[in-house]
Amino acid sequence: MSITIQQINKGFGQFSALRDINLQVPSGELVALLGPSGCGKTTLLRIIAGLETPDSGQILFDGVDTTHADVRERQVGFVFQHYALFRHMTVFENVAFGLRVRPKETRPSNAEIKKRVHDLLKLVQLDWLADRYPPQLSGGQRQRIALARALAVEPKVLLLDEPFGALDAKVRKDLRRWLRRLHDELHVTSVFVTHDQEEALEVADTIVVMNHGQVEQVGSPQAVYDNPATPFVYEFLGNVNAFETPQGKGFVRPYEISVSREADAQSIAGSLTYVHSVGSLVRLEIKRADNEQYVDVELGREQFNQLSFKQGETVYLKPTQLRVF
Amino acid sequence: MASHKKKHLLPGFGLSLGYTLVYLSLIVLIPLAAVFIRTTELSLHEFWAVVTTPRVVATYKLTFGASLLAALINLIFGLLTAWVLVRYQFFGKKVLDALVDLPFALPTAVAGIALTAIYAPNGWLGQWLEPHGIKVAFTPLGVVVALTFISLPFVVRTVQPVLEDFSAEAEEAAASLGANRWQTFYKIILPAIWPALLTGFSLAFARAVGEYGSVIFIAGNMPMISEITPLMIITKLEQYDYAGATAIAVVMLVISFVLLLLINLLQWWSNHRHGNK
Amino acid sequence: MHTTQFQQYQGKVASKRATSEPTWVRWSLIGLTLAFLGLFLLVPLAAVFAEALRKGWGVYLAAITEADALSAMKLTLIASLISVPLNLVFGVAAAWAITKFDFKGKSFLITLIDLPFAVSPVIAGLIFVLIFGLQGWFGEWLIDHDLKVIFAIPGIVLATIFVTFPFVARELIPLMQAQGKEEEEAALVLGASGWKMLWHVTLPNVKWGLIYGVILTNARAMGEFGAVSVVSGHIRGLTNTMPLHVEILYNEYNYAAAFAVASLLTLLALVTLVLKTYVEWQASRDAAAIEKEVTA
Repeated sequence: MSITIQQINKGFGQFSALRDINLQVPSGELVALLGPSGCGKTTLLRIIAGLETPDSGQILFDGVDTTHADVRERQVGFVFQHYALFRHMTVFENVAFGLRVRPKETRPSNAEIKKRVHDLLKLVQLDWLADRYPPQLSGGQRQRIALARALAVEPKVLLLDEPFGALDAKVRKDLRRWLRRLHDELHVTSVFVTHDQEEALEVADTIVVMNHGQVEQVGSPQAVYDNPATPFVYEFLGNVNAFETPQGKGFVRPYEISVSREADAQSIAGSLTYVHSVGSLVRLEIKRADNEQYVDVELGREQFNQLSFKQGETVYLKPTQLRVF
Repeated sequence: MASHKKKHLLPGFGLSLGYTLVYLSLIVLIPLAAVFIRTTELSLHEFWAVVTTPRVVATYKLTFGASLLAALINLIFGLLTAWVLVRYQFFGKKVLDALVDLPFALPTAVAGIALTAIYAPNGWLGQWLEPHGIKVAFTPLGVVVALTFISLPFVVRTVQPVLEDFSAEAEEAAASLGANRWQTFYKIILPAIWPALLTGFSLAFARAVGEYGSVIFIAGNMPMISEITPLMIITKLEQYDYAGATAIAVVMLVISFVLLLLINLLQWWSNHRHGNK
Repeated sequence: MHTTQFQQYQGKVASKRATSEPTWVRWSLIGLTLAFLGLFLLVPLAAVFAEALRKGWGVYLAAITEADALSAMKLTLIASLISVPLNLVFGVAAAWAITKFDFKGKSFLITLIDLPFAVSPVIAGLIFVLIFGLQGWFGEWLIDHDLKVIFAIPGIVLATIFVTFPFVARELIPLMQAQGKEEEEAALVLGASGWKMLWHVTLPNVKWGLIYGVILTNARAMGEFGAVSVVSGHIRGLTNTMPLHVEILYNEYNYAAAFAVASLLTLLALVTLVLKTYVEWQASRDAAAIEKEVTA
């Protein structure tokens, strides 16, 4: 199911959380809403879910206006940031909940519910936890149960609020690959909220970068990373050096700078203050001679070994690519 | 004490615990023990005869029956009050919230005469109820009214904080899974506040069982009909029947202690349920 | 985590529709609650004052300035003035022992401290009659030495102490438990003596809980009826507290006077509620300020 968002505005008191949001989520895609905290991404997700009502604008599911449809009618699966598992129910009952609360006419039989729940638990690889209670599970397990519970109602849209926010680094990495694979298997239109650019770049088909209640850029991970539309996107996605140029502010990624011992007409002189060489990349910290600002440069290990710079040495920088706004 | 000094970093363990135990023993433990020791002056047979005379049994029935009814009324209306105070906004809410504790602060004798004045045949409410054949003052119903008043705050005050802390996410999750409001209430919210409800209910019941001051004014105190057990103890005392008074007191104390134990178990159970600490 | 303006709003306004009841349900529930609380709290409250002033201000003032009423007030004040400090000292000692040290049987001790709440006030009176009364353990010895406990002021004070026994300890124990013992240990390292530590570190930290406990103790001490009734003997002008005086006037069908004295006790209850609300407000304000400091 596709989602169309038209001119959504939402305020809380004096505070304007969303301003004139327009967005198209094609059917079957996995979209990330990316931005710093307070940028309005969670509010947008909650409006799509029907947990929040926009002040103006429309939400269309497959072209049908659902702006004022109740959350119960929308058939969305929502995975909450802190999972919101029902702590007095077993894992099985948590997943079965959405089926059990259906009206009699559409409620599956007990045998059917049992089968459906176990199928889902197998899908999230936690069938063996069916009789446990949520407080007895690890963070990663809770997350997957929350997902299974959301999928039980066969949602047309899956919405996830900071799905990996509360997990530690290792579990996080595993889980986001797993989510990607699961999505490739199920192909349900999915939108997730994150403030972690790495997560968005790795998992999503499309990234929506948001800031101050507005959409800054929409595009594939590669597009938003390589061709940021605004200074904000440049700074938010990955490390970047800012240069003052006569045309305005210029942005350069650390790997888009060449370093040499010879000066030329365009190069900038600086002293190498710090060399950080762990892993395949070597990071250099260079203090510019003219304005004393620090510039981050990344070199391949091979290249660094050939040039063999020493700390304290004077070097000359030249951006190989510069985006000016 | 030397070993304590090694174990405890902060000073004053011996003094504070010693004082606590001495004071506790003098004021509470020894006097309470007196009740049990004095009962041994009666033989088991005599004891049984005293605590099972029809008039005394009638007081048990009234005391425990009316207390149960009052606690049930407060279970329902206490939950309702807590819900409304936590969830909704309306004019005068803060004042009402503070006023819920009135039964704790108001001397029971005052509550007793005030309720009697209201429900007496010529009282504000009594004059309307009487023509319909509903007699409150000087009947067992009056006992229920007084006990409902004095035990009113317990359920409200135990449920209120639990409702306040209840996560909005769980309710939203239920809604997003298709549950309607009523389903969300009885499948998600009610199980979460159930231990608090039970605790409040038991506290209200325990308080009502021992109550004396507010009841004696409104009950009419007719033997076999509207006499409560604490009054029975006083009646025996006034007749200098110390042994009889003591025997009935022992029955009440044992029941109260069992109740206290149940409340503690209930709290332990709700804290340790489902593996969470 | 820092709280942005956005998150604060979110907490308040979040999902009005998905998790709230239809308007008619809301107002019915509010209406039902108001009816219940009105019937059980407001009507009795109003009744006290209405009955007290039924025969006019003259009768009212006469009733509360009459000699027996004044001596009842004096006795009530005495009982409270003795029992509140005693239970306050006990509460601090018990809370200190329980929260700053580990020892066996701690939770049993806490249960024992709560015991007086589980005992009917009438039994609270009875136990002192069994010990100090005419047929009591010390009955003869007291007569021989011309001392009187039961049907005299000491008995009233003892019964009052018993029924108000747990209040202060009960407020302080959870509070001091939550605060841990780090600050006291810091004071110890800095060389403070035990009493200095208690006075300058511990008590200021639990100030509001302490005041709260005192307010509750005082309200109960001044209002206690059942326990005091058993040990008092109801001697007018001598062993009558205010609640007992109300009873005597009421049983003599002197309703206006009974309610006049009752109205004073009711005012006391209302003052208690106001103070209680104020203390709760202050305590939550302090807690919020501390939280802000921690997160900032």
